[in-house]
Amino acid sequence: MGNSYQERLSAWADDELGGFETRRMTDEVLKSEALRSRLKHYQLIGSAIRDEPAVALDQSFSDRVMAEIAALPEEEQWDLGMETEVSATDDSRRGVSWLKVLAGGAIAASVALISLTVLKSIHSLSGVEQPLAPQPVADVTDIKPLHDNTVAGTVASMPPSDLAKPVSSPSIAPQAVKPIPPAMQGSANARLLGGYLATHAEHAARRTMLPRARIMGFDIPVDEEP
Amino acid sequence: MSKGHENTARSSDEELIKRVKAGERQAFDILVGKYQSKIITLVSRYVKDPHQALDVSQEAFVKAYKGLATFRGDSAFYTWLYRIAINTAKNHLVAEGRRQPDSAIDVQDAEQYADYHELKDTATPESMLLSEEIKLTVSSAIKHLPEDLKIAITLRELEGLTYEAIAEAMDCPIGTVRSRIFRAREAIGKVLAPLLN
Repeated sequence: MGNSYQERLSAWADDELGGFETRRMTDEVLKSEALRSRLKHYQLIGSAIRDEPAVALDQSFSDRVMAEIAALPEEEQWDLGMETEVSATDDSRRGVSWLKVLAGGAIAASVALISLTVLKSIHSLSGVEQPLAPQPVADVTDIKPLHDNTVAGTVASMPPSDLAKPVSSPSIAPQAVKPIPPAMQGSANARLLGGYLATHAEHAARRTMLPRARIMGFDIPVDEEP
Repeated sequence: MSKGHENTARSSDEELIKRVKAGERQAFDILVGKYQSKIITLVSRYVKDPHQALDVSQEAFVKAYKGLATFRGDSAFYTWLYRIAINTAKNHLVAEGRRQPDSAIDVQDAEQYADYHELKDTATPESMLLSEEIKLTVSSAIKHLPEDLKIAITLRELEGLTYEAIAEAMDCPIGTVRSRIFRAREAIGKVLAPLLN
């Protein structure tokens, strides 16, 4: 038994070791009679320094206690009857901890479900949940003025349900936009509208810009009609 | 006693309790050795007859052993043991038909004001003689210790300071305190060995 080992025993007697060292030293003390004897000497020295009663210096007290414990019926011994009780307690503790995990999982699932529902409702309000399915786009060359001063292409003739849908991008390529017919070119507004629609058609092909802009019609002065 | 010390003490006691529950009875013997003095002192405040005080203390330890299943470790083992000892002492007084003390006795009060002289009567003349000899030897050995060892062991055993507090008081590392206390115990133990053998 080296000095450093004995020094650890001295620190263990004072409860001054860390958790791991305490466990290891407890193992050693329980295994070694020599260590237990040395420990009793340390306790004896402490009692003598504190001038404790003579009985405290008499080791026969703990011997009597241990003799009485040894004489207990079997069911009252920890190494026999009581051990079952301990394991039963451990089992119930394990059950409680399992329930805690289950309850935690249930709470987490509830929170996730609520979050999902809220997100879904937010998206449905903003209409994001509608799919970006390919849709036919108005032919910008087919724009004609109407009697009610509304200019509309085939867009205007689309059923309202289709109009509500987002414009599809992949089906439109910039080169697919035809030039404005010469009959329309005289009108400044028509030219502007044509240019706007051409730009719109070009950008509507991308998802980042004007993805759902639609021209339903606009007013032009009667004298500008071709 | 600092809080930190209580925490480490609890972990050490808990280790021993765990071993007792696993069937290692020796672990309880260590606990008895560790706390017997405090418990006997405490019980003697209630039970004046020294012989009965010893019996009640013994009964308290046996009750604690049997009741370890109910010890959850929420409080320190000694606090729990203290309550058992107090209840056992009170039950003893009731059984004897005597009036209990008016107020509960604080653990520290019991340690400080216990009348050791009454307890001395319980020992046999031989053990009394040996005890006195042990005390004189230890006292003499401490006087011959180097100053730093003497201060360290006194602060630990008499004042109950933690290593950390002693290190602060002596202005040295905790490792040095640990070493000094160990060397002091070894030096006293060497002087004491012929008596104990």
